[in-house]
Amino acid sequence: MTVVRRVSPMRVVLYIVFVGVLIFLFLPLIVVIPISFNPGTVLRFPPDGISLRWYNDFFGDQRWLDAAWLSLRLGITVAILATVLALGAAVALTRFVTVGKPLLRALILSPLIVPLIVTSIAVFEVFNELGLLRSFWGLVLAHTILALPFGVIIIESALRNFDVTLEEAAMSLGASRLVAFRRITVPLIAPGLFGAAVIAFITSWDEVVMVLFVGGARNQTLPVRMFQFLETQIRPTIAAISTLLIVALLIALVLRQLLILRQRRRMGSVRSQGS
Amino acid sequence: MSRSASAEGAAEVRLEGIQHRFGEVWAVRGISLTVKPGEFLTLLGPSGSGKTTLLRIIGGLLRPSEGRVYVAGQDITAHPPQKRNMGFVFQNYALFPHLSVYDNVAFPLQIRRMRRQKIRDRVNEVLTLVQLTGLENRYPAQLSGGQQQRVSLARAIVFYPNVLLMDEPLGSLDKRLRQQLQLELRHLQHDLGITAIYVTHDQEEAFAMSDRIAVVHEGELRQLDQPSQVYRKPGDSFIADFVGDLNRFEGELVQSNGPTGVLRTSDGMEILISLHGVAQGSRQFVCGIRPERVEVGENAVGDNRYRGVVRALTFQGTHYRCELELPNGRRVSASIYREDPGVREGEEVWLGWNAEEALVFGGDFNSNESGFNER
Amino acid sequence: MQRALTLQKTIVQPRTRNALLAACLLGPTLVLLGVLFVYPLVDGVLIRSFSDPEVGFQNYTRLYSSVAFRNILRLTFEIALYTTLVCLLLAYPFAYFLTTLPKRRAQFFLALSLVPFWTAILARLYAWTAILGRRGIINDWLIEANLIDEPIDLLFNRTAVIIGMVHILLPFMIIILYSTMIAIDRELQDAARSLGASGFQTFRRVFLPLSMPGVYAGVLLVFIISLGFFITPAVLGGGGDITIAIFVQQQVSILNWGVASAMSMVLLVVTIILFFVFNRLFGAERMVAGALRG
Repeated sequence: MTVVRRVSPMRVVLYIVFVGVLIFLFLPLIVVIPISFNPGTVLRFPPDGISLRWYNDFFGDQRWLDAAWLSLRLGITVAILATVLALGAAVALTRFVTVGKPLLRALILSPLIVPLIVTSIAVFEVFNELGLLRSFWGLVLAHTILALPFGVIIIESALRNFDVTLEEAAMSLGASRLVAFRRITVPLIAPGLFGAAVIAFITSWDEVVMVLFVGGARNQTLPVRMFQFLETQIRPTIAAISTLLIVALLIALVLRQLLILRQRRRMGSVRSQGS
Repeated sequence: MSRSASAEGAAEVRLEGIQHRFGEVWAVRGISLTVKPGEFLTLLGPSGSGKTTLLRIIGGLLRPSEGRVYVAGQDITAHPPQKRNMGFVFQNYALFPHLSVYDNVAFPLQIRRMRRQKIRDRVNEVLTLVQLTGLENRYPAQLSGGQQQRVSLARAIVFYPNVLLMDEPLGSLDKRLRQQLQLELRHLQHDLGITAIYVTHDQEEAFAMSDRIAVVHEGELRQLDQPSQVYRKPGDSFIADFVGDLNRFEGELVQSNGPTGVLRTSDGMEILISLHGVAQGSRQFVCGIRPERVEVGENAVGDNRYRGVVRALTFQGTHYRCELELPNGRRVSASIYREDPGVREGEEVWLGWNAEEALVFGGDFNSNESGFNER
Repeated sequence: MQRALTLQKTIVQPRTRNALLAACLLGPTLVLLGVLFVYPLVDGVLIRSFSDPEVGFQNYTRLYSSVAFRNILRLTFEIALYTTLVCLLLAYPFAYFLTTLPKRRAQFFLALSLVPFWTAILARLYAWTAILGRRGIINDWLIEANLIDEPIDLLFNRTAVIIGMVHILLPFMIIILYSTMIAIDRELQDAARSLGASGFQTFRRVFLPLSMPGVYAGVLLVFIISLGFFITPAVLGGGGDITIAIFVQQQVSILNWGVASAMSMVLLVVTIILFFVFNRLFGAERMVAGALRG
């Protein structure tokens, strides 16, 4: 930029707010990482030295590892179940349902609207009667309900952007309806399915309230254990865990970006083909 | 699936009383026609005429509200598209964006569980046929419009279909490429000997490619004939107008004398018309004269002769287009195929035509007119 | 027109078969939602609020007559309102600044501002305790800089709760505002400039009014989500700051299900009313941006 531009004071203010907001958003993430390497119990920022003590705390404690393992199993199960259910529901809503569609959609989206605390106390009794209380599968179903709305919305929009002529073309070329769906539609809405699964995983991975209510003491997921730990202790073990979570997230985001780039390079301006 | 349907197995397609309704709207109202084996038939009509609906019914993408579809004498009305063995070329090509050119073309063969080696041979054969060798590993988004079109054609013929259905396949290409592909398509269809049904709204395209043209308008079959006949002897004034430019004169027969009569328009023009082959008993007529049949200049002769002022004279490449205004304000256009048009803008000249050069349609000209042919 | 119809109605199948397919595809979802969501809401919250421990309105009258109830309501609404306003004040200039950047860079910064959004909530809450606590970073620095002698209480109060909630909800507000702003036709502003409007006038008379739908949508959405927050006030709030959600949890922990249900009904009804307003104005689609993560 060699051109000298007159910068208006308004622009300066905007710029300050912009940088300020970014700092505010990233402050917790940035702070947590050095704390996790702090040798002492007392928080120091910047830290006095470097130590892996709090990571040892995490990896050396079976209860933490159990919690993380449970969260992972739970998240993956929920991701699969919610995506499959949402795919079915989204296909039905976009292709087959003709009457009562607004009502059906309202029903499917409603777990999004009802505050978590309300849902949690509501399901307690029914979970108890059905023997789902304090069980892994009870948590799976509870989280699936929370994840479904996102899945349905994401997959529905993927299906709506999908050109139905492609399925018709496949059928005119000899594919049955099911084969056309599997070989043409599913690969083309795969990003949507993947997105739905990721959101479902995160919904479950990050959820505390329902697990607190219906999970019971034996089903302590990672965030629940963190929550209870936070209420009673101030050891920086959580900083170590948080750092691990942040690093995992960053790796996932980079991977996703690479995937998108690869996809784009290949299929490019697909939408612009034809008229 | 019917492997017997090889290239030489061109099939007859017969439609019987096809009707189709979307909700309250009748898209197709009672069309019956037969496409001969190996014939190239074009469904020609303006947008919204029902031609695409008809094609989708033939292809099994729509089930008609009424009527039957027969292929090679067999009733296939209830067959789903995948059981029909018809190649369908879609308007926007409908290439699978996640599959390479090779995989797009191989798709129907894979579905038919053909052996891998045979698939490779056949795909290569067809890609050679449509001149796409070397592009096997490209993805649709990496191809030009013309190349995409060829892929979609290759994919539609690779599995030896009985019938090839094409829905405005050249619609989104530029004019030069379109004309080139028209020829190629026609040759390919001829070489394969396959029955082809082609949908277009472009009458020039229809003339260039078809053995016969079926003019469809408002869901009805208006005329089924060879291209030259459709142009020279259109079945009604709508067709006459749709397949070429037309100067229209609507009026009442005020005098008839054997094979000729005099038509008087509402603005008082009197036009000599030929009543040869025109329905008797009618008093309302439409007289249409194509611009290339109108003579312009001092030596303009004909049964109908008028004075007119040249309002616009434009060079069209092969000819001049001349817009004339008659004393009553009516506009007439004429095409002049001379190196020197012999007239200038603003000049008052003679124009005229012979009665038998004009097209005459009897009767109910009010019922079938849509807005766009009012001049 | 007929073409549009043709495309809309794809492969025709007999009606009954479609209905059957729809039932198969939707069935599991509907059973799941019916048994484990709708029925519990009716039976476990609505009916229970009128029947536990005995049939009648006593749960509601007890709530209504207590001073604590009004304080809880007021506090919950206050926190939600402040959170919403702070979000708006930060997100609007942020999103506006993004729209002035070249597209690529804007998308990069938008993605960047969403990174915290994907981060585990407990990790973020922990970070705030580490930053704001009595022995936290800010107090540490202030003491080292000799600005204060004694650590000041930054944590376990209303401000801390609002900071935590703003941090969680700000990305929603940014997405909603940015998506509205980016859809505003650039040429309208150029046109206004060409008609003699100054930069600020252009903003006030053209851009601001056109961006208002996004503002309304964002404000309503953030407010609705704020009302139901539980974890954030529980971790960052002081013992005296009892929001509706915390109250419900406390009542359940002393097995006072009737009162908990009645309070839940209050929260539910308010949320549903606000949601209907939202839906009427903007459609439920926008809700997806509101990945409820409280």
